[in-house]
Amino acid sequence: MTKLSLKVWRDFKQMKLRGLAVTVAIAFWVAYYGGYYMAIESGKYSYKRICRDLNLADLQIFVEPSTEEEVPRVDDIPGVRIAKKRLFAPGSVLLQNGNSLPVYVIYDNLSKGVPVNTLKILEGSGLAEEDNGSPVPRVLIDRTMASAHGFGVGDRLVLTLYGNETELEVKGVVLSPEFLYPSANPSLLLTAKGSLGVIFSDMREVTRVFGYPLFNNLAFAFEEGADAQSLEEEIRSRFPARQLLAFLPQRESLDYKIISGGYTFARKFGPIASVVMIIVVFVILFINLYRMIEERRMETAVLGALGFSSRDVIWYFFRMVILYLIIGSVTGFCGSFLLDPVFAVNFAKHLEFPELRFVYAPGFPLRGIAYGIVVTFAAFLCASVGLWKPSFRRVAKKSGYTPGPLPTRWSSLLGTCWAFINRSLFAKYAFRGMLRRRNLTVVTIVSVAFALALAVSFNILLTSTNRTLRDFYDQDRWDLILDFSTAVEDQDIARLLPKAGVAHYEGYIKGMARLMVNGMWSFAQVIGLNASSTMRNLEVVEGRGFSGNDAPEVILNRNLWKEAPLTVGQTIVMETPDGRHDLKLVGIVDEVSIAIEYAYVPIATAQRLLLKPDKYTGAWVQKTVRFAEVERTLYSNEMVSRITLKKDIEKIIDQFLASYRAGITGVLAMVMALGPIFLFTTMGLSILEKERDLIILRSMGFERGHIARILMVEVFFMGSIATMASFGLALLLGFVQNKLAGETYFSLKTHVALADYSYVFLCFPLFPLVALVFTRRIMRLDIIERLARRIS
Amino acid sequence: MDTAAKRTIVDIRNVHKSYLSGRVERKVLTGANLTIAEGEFVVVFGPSGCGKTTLLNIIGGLDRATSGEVWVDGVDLSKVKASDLSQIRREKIGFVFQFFNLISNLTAAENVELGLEAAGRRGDGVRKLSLSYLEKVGLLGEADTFTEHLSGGEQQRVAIARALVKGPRLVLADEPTGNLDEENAMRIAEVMMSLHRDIKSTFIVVTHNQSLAQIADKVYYLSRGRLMGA
Repeated sequence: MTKLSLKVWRDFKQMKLRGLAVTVAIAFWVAYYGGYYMAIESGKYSYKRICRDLNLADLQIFVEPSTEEEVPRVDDIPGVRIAKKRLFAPGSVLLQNGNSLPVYVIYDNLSKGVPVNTLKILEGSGLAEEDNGSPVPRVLIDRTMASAHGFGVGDRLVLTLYGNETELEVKGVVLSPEFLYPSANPSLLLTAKGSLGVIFSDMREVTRVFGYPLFNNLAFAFEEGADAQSLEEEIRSRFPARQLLAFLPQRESLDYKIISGGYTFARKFGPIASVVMIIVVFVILFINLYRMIEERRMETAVLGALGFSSRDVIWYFFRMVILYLIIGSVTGFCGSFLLDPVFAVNFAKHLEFPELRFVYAPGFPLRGIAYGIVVTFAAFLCASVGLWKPSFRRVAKKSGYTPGPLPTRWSSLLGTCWAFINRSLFAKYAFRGMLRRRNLTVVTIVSVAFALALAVSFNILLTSTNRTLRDFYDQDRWDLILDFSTAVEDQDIARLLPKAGVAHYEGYIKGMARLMVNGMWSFAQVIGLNASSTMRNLEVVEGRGFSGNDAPEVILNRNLWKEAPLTVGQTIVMETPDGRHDLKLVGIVDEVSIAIEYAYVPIATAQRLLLKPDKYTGAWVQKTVRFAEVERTLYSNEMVSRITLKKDIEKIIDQFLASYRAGITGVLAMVMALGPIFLFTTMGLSILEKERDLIILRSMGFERGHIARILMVEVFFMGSIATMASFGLALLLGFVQNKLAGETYFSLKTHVALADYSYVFLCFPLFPLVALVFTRRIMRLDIIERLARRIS
Repeated sequence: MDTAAKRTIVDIRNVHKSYLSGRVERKVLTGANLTIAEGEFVVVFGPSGCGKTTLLNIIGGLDRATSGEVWVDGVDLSKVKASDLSQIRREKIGFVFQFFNLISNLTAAENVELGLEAAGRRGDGVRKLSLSYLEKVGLLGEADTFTEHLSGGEQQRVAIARALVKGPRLVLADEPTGNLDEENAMRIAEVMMSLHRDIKSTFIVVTHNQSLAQIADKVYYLSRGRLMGA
């Protein structure tokens, strides 16, 4: 072994703390990167697995309530394994606080256990034959209804269905594959967990009430490997257009969109978190490698004087770096398998996922190692720049640090400031030091500014989301939304809503349709509204509003057709119970919506397309102060299936923001820790370069206060510049984050509040703390020992 | 304590100093005694590792004796707090080190001004006084040169000017010529002697340089932890 190789091995063993810092930085990066992306795969796999285990239907269709004979036969289609018939009935349940919770009651042949949309019992037991004879009908409730509203096994529910009140007994709490994401009220564009209850009852209850079974929902399971799209077309063709209300392949279900949207969000933020991490790793590596090289400046100069080339010297350092890289990569690789469950559980908690199966895919940590290699080499290159041209003056002069001359252009630039600075020797010393070590000074300022700005940008993201949501709902004048059990006429609504309690109302109609947009079919909910609606304000960002109530026009939300960009004036084919129609896209809105695609159509056009002339399926209501008197009666009116209150929007927004915040908590915590870490490490490095000078000052009798003054000048100068720079940088980063978030859910308008910058002001007191911490360190060093070290 | 003719500036009585090197106790000074009158130029010889620098550090308040009394200008350093030691070093003692120990990023004049600033002196006169001391050591022309651009001999002269500019009662020089060639060593010796005559401070110089011994008022030899007059 050559002596230089021997030195590599001995130096490697000797550098305990510094080596540990380098190794840990690399290991943490690899573990984080691999763990994060494996966690996303774990979530996606878990969802698919649950859907498979619980036999999530490949297709569901909703029809007008029909008897067995009225429903076309579909189980004879080759490729269709099972077709199950159910009845979905909208109702409400009285809560303990006196409010009513909108619910769906799903009537199914539960005791037969047909394997489509299977229910998994979480508490209690399932429905059996003997339950049919009980005096109080026994039901199962969805897990969200239990957890969000405190219902449990044995509890009694008061269900209002079509104006009739019934008492029910909860026999079990279940998990349904249709409602893996906590059940939400589809009337709201923002999904609010627990805003919709789901009750499962046996089909015999329907027979008991109506005298015969009724169905309005068919759930299909296809054979393995069957062509889903062909089967969907075949099934659709069996139903008359008038009978078909909604056609929902699995990929169009609300759950699927929300859950896949959630993981898309995580994937979009992955790169941001990765960039943050990579910068942290780069700075830590650069600082430690720089120090490692600086401490050996004399040795490298001596090696050069002995005849070793720059390449030999660099290769000497590089071998140490490779050793750290190998150890860090292996440790990180193993660590990623530990972090995978940690991240996966955090994501699942945000989506309230019921079960998790972890995926361990080595490809992700290996990719992390590849990035780690790149960043390590980059840090080493930056830290070793000075080695390419070693200076022998160090050997001759026996001095450690020999800075370059003070550039005169800096002196002239700082002309006026210089006169002020020139008053104090300490200030002169501090400023010159910073200017001479320009690279280090710039790295320090940039890294601190970046850390501060990044934390603020997350606050800007949350502020922007909050304001965008509130502005969106504030622009509409409705106070509540009524959904009716069946389509009704205007005079029915007028009778329902007494003038005393209602300032204004406006009917609307909703129905399902299929849209062909840019060659792609997708499902949407058609909403027919008044062309000059004052209740639901469509803020058109491109094009215009409707020209009339019966115009063949449509307005779409561009956030929900990202894959097929919309152009004003293009033709949209809409397939409804009335057949296929061409509508002109006259306007594009930029609306808040998580997963539900709406197509806005003029009211008369919508009524015609949905085969409900002059009929309404709901109303937006603006209430007066006396509304409370009529509110209670509305809940018990058989015409009303669901009431959505605008005052609950505040809670929904808070809930959404909370889940948003939970999703980015890990990254935000990391980013907020970055500021102080960068401050201490980079400024600390800058300060420690002066350790020897500060010891000399101590030997001359200068005390703690003098030392602290020198360090304060430096810390405050760099900290202040970094703080000022962070203001603008934060805006830029906030804008970028808003754009990224907008690509996942809905476009965000950038809003900034002074409170968003609170983190910057919180960090400011840390600047003097850094100076004081290092002052203490300098004061505790042994003068003689430090001065004597120079000789060795 | 005063001698008949001059006031005693340094009085060391039975000073012991030992260090722990691992588990082994290494005795450096074993009952050292030294009395120096004000204004004397004293040289201390001794082989490498005999404790010369330790002796100087104890006198200068950079280190403390294990036992014994150390009186400097009427103050028992063994009983004084660390902050008071700093004050004594600021006001009464000037240090000259073997390896100069000038402050980077400051010019020659600024390094000398630092000596005055340490003593709490500020204002317009500071610059003028610094330049006058640079002139005394023959470096007025290099006043605005950064010290790392000066030769070894020039740096040591700056260090001497820095140590003396505040008019210390006591100047402690630890092998001031140890890092210089003969010519520069001679020049340093001349500078120190000239300044000694000029400002009448007491000098204690630890050295191997015979030329300094020739011009000293007293010469001591440190051997086996004890001082002996030569």
